Amino acid sequence: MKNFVLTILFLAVCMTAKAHVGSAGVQMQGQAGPYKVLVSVEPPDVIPGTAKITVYIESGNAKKVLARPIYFYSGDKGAPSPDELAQIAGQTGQFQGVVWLMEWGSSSAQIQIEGDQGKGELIVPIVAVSTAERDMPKHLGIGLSILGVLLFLLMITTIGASVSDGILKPGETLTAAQKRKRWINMGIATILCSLILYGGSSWWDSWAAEYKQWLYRPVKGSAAILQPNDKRVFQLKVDTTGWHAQRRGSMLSTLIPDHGKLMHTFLVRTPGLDAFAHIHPERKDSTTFEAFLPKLPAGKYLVYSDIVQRSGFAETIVDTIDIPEQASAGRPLPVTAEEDTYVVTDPINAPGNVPLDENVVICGKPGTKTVFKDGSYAVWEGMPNKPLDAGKPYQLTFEFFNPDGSACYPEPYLGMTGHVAVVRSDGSVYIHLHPTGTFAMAAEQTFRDRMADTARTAKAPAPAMFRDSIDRYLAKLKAMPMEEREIFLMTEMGMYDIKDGAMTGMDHGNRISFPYSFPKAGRYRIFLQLKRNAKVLTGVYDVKVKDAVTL
Amino acid sequence: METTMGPPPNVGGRVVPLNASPDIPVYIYATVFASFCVITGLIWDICWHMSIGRDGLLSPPHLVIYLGAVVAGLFSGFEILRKTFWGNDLEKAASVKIWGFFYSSLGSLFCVWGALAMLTSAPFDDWWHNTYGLDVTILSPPHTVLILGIIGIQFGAMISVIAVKNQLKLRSTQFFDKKKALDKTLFWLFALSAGFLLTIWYTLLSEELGRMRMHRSSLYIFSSAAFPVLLMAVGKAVRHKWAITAATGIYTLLMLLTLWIIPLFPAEPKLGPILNHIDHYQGFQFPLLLIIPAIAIDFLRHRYGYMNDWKLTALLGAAFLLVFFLFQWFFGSFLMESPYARNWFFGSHYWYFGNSPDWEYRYKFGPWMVETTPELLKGLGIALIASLISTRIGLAWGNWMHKIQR
Repeated sequence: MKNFVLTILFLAVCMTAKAHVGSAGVQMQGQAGPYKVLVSVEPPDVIPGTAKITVYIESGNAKKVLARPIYFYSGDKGAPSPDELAQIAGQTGQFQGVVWLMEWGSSSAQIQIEGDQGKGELIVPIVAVSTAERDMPKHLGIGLSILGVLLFLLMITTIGASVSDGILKPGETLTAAQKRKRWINMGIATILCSLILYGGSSWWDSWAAEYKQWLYRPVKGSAAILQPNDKRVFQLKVDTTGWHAQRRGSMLSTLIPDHGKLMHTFLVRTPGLDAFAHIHPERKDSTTFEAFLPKLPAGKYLVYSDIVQRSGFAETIVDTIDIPEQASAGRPLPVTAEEDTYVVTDPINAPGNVPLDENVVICGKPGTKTVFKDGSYAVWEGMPNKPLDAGKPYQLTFEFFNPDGSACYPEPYLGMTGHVAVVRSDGSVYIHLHPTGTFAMAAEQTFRDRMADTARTAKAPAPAMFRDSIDRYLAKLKAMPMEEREIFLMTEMGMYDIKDGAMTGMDHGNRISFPYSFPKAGRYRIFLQLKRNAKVLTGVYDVKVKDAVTL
Repeated sequence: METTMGPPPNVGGRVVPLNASPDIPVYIYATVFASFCVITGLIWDICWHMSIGRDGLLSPPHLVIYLGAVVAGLFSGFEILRKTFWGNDLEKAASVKIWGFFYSSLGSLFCVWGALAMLTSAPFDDWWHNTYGLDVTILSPPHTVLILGIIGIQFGAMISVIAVKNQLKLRSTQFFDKKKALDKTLFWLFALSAGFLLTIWYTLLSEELGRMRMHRSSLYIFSSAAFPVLLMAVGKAVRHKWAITAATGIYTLLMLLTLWIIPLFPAEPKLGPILNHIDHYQGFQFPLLLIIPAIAIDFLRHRYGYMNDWKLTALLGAAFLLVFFLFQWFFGSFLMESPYARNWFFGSHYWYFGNSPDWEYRYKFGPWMVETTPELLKGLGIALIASLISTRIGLAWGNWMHKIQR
């Protein structure tokens, strides 16, 4: 199994787009042909708008970096020619520029690199949605008001002059009647200009209302626990109210699996973040998803469910749920997917306070060794007790060891070397990362497929047929033995070459990196998931993030 | 003999004789030039959006528009300050006085207002884009402020010319030949400024006046409401047999020259989706055949000039619609359907890059763009009323412009 371990991290996508919870920006680490790069994208919060792209060349010598936006709808054939990114002065191997995102929805930035080792490219999926509602800054408002008043007065004066001294021959002076006429006309002009201003302001209001209607609204769902025959079943029902007006329509029928699962749900007990589960609810009907619950302790949980649309548009459904005590412990609990897993640890505010359970780990910090339940351990490279800066791209790098201290190569878990879930102590930030891409992996795949497709516009599939085909695909996957399934998933994602019978272009090791930029200051908990001996292991780390100090 | 010196008779003011050698002030040329810049910049900007799609604050067409704003603002602003602080009594006597302090010509006031409005629109538009997205709409609130500013400048240019032209009449006749030559120059400056104003008027409404709509009554309603008001005003503002024809001729020429010149330059779309790949600018539209009703109106004006404005309204308003409809309807068929219109001269083959070039109604009137005969007749009835109202307002407006002295 170790041979399957992924190493080359082509498209380590950690999508932190706005459709995700609380995280802004997209970081992607990957291989663009011969060049290893880190791409950081700040998507606009208003669409149409421009996304700022920074490319850091980590290996190789790039001379030219180009970027262009590719929309799912119009694909490669309908995308504009690329623009060159400017080299950042004084920073070798750093390039910066923008791509224009005109369309709401699933988008991407294609990065092309030219240098002494030839050409390379990679594609970064971007979720393009409007999320910001802005007020006018005070100084601008004051400035514009002054100009507005001046324009108003000048127009009235000008109209007054137009009907009075403007039509007098040089030297003539106004008679009393003409003066009166001027005042009357200025009065009429005042009323007319006021009406025009009123009309303009109503127009503006309607524009703002229209904009608000198109602001991104997260998909809502309500989570519940069903208890048939003493089993606990997690259920998520997606709320489709108002979807017709939002043009979401039959969106749920065109979901696609992301590394083999239609939905990834993370349950995190609040407020201590001391119990965690990563489960994979299955589609029961067009709006209902269900999975058996692992042996989580009772309590209130935050629910984060990730889904990806056919177009590569990825979203997270958020809810909270009260999980009741398991009624009859003892007998083995049914599981929905072999990969479903959970862990219990110490609360974020009470270190060391760990309940006795069969699936317990102690929470670690950067630089500390966190021992998994099978005795293997992982170390987070980093300075212990040194807070990280918000908004700065980091590589969260972990080293994985066997109990005897030898390097341990993680086995693929859902086609990935590892998974990380990052949650802020208050639940306001959540992100699901992989070194090789998460839902963005599916989005990235979507865009690769779309680019290979020469159709100028993407045709919408028949929803019922599409849903059936996905369900059949998922049933086929589920029926495979785990090892075969992992090979299948990795092959699909382009990370496994059947001809060679091995991972392609291995840069194989026991270090796993997850690029991420913490969006704001606070306490964060990181749940690291790796697989060893066909068992999923979860390690927990805490980190403090402070606001970046600008010098 | 007793002589008594009484107070001078009260005649409501005195007329200052203008004996100096007449000349056209530089700021008149500057404002007409500014008016030219803003409208060509605007047409170029529209072609830019149809061909390239995205732009920045300092895109070349924007720079041309700003140049117009700066020239109009600076020359007019300077003229106001010069007259206020350094002007002689004669100049002050030939100016309007505002806010009890500033001396200005009316045209300069409009130009300064226009430049100020354009200045206001820039930060407003920038904020707007950050707040509601980068719009590519002609009419958004900040763009409207900009266009009102542009119209202000163009109107100011026209008024400035009229004032100088009217003042010329007061000048002594000792420079007869020079006066005649100047009058001719001023007439052409007036025709240019009126033609530029007409072009922006058209541009504003161009989304409603495309060739696809030429078999719909809505085009004739919009045209009848929008154009006679300006055309009649132009005809009344100056005494010239072919004033309206000259102004519509300038409009036609400007539209044609931009249609023929701009597509000579390379351009490629920079915004997806790109369904129609192009490598040169797409032209704006072939001008409406306004020049034909203009000739008819000028002829009728000349022939029936003795009528009062109400009778003229009925005659000219109806004539405008009739002639315009007849020619534009059949020309619309040609532009839309004939393969002979798909060339650089007529420009029917220009096509927005975001639209599919294979669209079945690219060269054919869509069913929603044609009306039944009763619908069309009803629409034309509305157009006639619009034309009459527009004509009447235009005549009144022209009467006022004809009186402008300062």
